[in-house]
Amino acid sequence: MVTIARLLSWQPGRLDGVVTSLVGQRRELTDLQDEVWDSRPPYSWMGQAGESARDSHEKLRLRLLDLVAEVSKVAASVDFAQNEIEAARSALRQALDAAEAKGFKVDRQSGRITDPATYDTPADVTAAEGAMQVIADDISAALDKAATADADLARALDAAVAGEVEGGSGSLDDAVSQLPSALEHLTPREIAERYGQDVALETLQFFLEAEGELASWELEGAARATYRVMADGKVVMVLQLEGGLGREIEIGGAEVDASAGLTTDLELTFGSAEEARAFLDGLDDRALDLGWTDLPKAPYAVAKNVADYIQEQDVTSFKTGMYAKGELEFDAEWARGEGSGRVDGYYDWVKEEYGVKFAASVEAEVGRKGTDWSASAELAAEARIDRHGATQDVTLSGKVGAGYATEKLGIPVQNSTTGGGVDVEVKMSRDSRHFDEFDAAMRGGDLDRAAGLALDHGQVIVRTTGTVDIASGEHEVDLKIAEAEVRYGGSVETAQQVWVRPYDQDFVIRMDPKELR
Amino acid sequence: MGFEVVQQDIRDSAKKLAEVASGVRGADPSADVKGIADALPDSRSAASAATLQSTWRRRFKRWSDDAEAQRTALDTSAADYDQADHLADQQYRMARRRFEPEMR
Repeated sequence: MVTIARLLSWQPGRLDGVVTSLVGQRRELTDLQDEVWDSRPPYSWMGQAGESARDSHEKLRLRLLDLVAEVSKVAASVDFAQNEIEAARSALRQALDAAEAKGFKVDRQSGRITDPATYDTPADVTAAEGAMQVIADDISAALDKAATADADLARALDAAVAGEVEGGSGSLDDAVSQLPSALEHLTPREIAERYGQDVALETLQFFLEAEGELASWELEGAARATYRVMADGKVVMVLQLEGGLGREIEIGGAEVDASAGLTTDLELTFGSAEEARAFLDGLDDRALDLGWTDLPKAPYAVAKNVADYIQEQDVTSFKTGMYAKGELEFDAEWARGEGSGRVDGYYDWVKEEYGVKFAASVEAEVGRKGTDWSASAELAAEARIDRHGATQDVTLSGKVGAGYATEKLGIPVQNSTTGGGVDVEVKMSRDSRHFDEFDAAMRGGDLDRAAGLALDHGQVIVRTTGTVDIASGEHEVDLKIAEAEVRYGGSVETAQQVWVRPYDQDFVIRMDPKELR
Repeated sequence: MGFEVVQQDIRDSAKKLAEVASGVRGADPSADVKGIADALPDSRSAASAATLQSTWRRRFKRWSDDAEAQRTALDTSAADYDQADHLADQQYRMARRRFEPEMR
């Protein structure tokens, strides 16, 4: 039983240091991987002696895997417990503050709440008793949370003592993959429901793009439909429409193909793939549900039917906005290459928030011609801001090499089928305890610090994916006054391996997309 | 391939094993878990952490000691490995290849 006095005496913040040093020691252990392989007695040493030496080495190696697994399990469990106890303590403080504001006395040992005040009417007494009960419930919920966190952590420590943490038979990095003891009883699906709401397992996308030339201007328009199956079982459908004008300009040796236009995004979220299918099945029927009076104005009636039908769904986002984009080719003394970038600004009528998106990709050769120092990068950033100007979340995403994911994020990406490239998304939102610090750094223009905080405390999703093009094509169309080029296509992107590092945690949850489909 | 090559290979793995042994000795995390008791006094975890501290200290030391012992054994084997062993190994290899053609 955890008492109020005891919970107040706990300093979960000090567990931070424990996690950091455990993770550091674990790193020193996993860094020994090459030496472990190289220390295996050579196969050229045959016979009984050689085989028994290799046997002993293997036994030693398996014991080392278990040690790494133990350290990892304890680190993850301390990390998890720290967050839980921190939350329990702040809930307890809030309840105690509420009690003090009402003039109640709270016994720090027994938890008993007393009210020294006297009341004139029975209604006042009832109100005071009600308030006392609410505070008592809040206190006991906070104490229960802390006790559970303590018991979960103790269980991990006891399991390590008993040698019950299994390190498997793979590499040292594989042995690192350990869940905190508090999450052990959850099924893969329950874990995905808890941590996978931002993880796309499958993305089906169709697009239609048209570009026409009119005098010296270019007209462009695009429609994109996306169907995304998330790890938590939900299905998100997005319909994007955009249209704009552009032209080619030359600035100081660089050729810029710039354009700007307007966008509309409609996002529907369904609880499951079945619900999404029912929606699509119903769309046809509803769209073409026309009476004979509708016939003269059929296009209008269809549009109205579709709009009405969509209104009945769970519209999770409806954005209107504008974009500006440019494609750039440069050939200067110091660098040659090409890049493209796009900035989007929008207002979301459902979430009542503004957003700014920035995406860029650059491929360049730097230095004098022929030196072959080339670089390529692909990254995107999105910030969402509410009506009052408060930042809601900031997401950074891009493609990085497998080495970066292991080095910087502690996520052991292996056997990547995408040629070593992996998708990384780092998200910082109010779900993190460090969000205010991050927001202040962003606003103060200290982007290095902001990026550091996001990498240390943000939610990190790493995915290796495979993409299959379903169809694609290109057509030239002669419109008499203009020539147009139409492109269309579809693709399916499938996540092969997924890792999620939750907000404010150092442990990484590995999700197997095959188990979740 | 002469027996000296095998001898050298065995010595090389012994050397690597010594590096692992010292690395593991240096990465003993037992002192770190003491911080759990400091952060959460009188908790169940604090009691378990104290036990884990001594268990880990023992376990990490034992692992490094065992690795050191194995390293010594490897060095001794390398020193003892001679032409006769090498011939025996080659015969063993040929015999295995005859019975297990798929073995490389």
